[in-house]
Amino acid sequence: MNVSIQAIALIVILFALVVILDFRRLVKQKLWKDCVVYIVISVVGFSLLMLTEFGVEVPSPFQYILKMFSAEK
Amino acid sequence: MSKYLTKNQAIYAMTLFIFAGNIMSASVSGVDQDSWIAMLTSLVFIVPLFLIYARLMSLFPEMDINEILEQLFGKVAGKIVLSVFIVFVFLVCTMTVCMVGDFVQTIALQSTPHIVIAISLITAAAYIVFCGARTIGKWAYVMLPIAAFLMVLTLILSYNRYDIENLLPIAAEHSIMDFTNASANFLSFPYGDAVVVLALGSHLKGKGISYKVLMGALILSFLILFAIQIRNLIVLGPYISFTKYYTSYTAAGYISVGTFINRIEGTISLNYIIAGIAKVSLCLFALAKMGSSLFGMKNHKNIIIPVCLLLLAFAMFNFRNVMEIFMFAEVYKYVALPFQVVLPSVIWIVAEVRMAIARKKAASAAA
Repeated sequence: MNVSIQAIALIVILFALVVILDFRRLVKQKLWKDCVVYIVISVVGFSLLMLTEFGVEVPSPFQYILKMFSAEK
Repeated sequence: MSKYLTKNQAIYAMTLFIFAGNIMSASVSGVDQDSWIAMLTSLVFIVPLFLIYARLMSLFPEMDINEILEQLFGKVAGKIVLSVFIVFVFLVCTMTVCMVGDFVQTIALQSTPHIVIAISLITAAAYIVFCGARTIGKWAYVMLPIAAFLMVLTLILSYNRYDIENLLPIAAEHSIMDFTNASANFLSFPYGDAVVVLALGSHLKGKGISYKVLMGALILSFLILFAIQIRNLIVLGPYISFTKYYTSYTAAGYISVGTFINRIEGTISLNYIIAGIAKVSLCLFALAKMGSSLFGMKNHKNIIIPVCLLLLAFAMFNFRNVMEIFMFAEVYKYVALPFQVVLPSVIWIVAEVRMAIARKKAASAAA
């Protein structure tokens, strides 16, 4: 498994910064609906990034599109 | 600070947006030495398409695509169409991040991980978007003259490499079908991506501003891209021009004036990065606007960072290498044209019908 520790550390730092600098603002303003959307999208992004960095083959929509049209051509 | 972009700011921002497509569009025409003719013929499709976008924006002045869709199709259907648009703009944005990221990595930062380059690009774009639409306009207003100057500089300095015979034979080796196909390529990439402008309607104010902005951007970007295409062809020749991935960069690499002006291709990298940031910023701004409307959020700024993180994630696993991006660029028109041509045309027709009915009703009520 090709795991890049630096990349994972970078992602964790990035998300920590986001929580400290941006997400806190929403919590302070008590925008709960916005917070939920924020968390859901961020968690999806974080999971995808971690999976990619841990070497998991995440199926790319672009690859499917490419295969579909290349086959037609 | 006013939320409205001035006419020139909007024109410059859209020009940079279209110019970003130059990274790849120069390589995927498919008609070799006749690609400049294909560019000219593509105007037959591009001008009406831009007029549709402009008409749609002028029918609903100071309205974004989300408000237009809600007014035309109602809340539920409007949100469904809006999510389709969001998927497309996200696709465009991801592709741009991958393209610029891979370009920087291939040309200059081979040992730097792709994620670092992607983070830098997305952070720059996110900051501009956070500052507001007017900042995008101001930034474009400063950057486009620099990019254009560098482009003109490479045009002038490569004079001793010009070989007009590279343009021959003219229109002798390709069929009308080839030209139509190449024109569709140019239409979908980079011009069709300008559909993103529909998400910026609320930041344009004034009578007929949408026409002025879109036509101004079309003329400016076409002049720039056409000049670049001709330069690449007459400097490199059609065969090198279409076998290389970054043709403008390669063409600029041939520049050698005396012994002191060499290796000027770095300026091309600057152009790509400037245009890339402009395109990612505009896409990100459109995504934030549409996303916040879709999820009923209070402010579009609240969704910018999550979208950036998702964008970063997709940019990391979508393409494994540069080759895949260029392969995708070849089939891009099949994916993009429904979003760039069909969907806006349907929205425009529905809008015209609705407006006509409303006018009739108003006239009968007055009588």
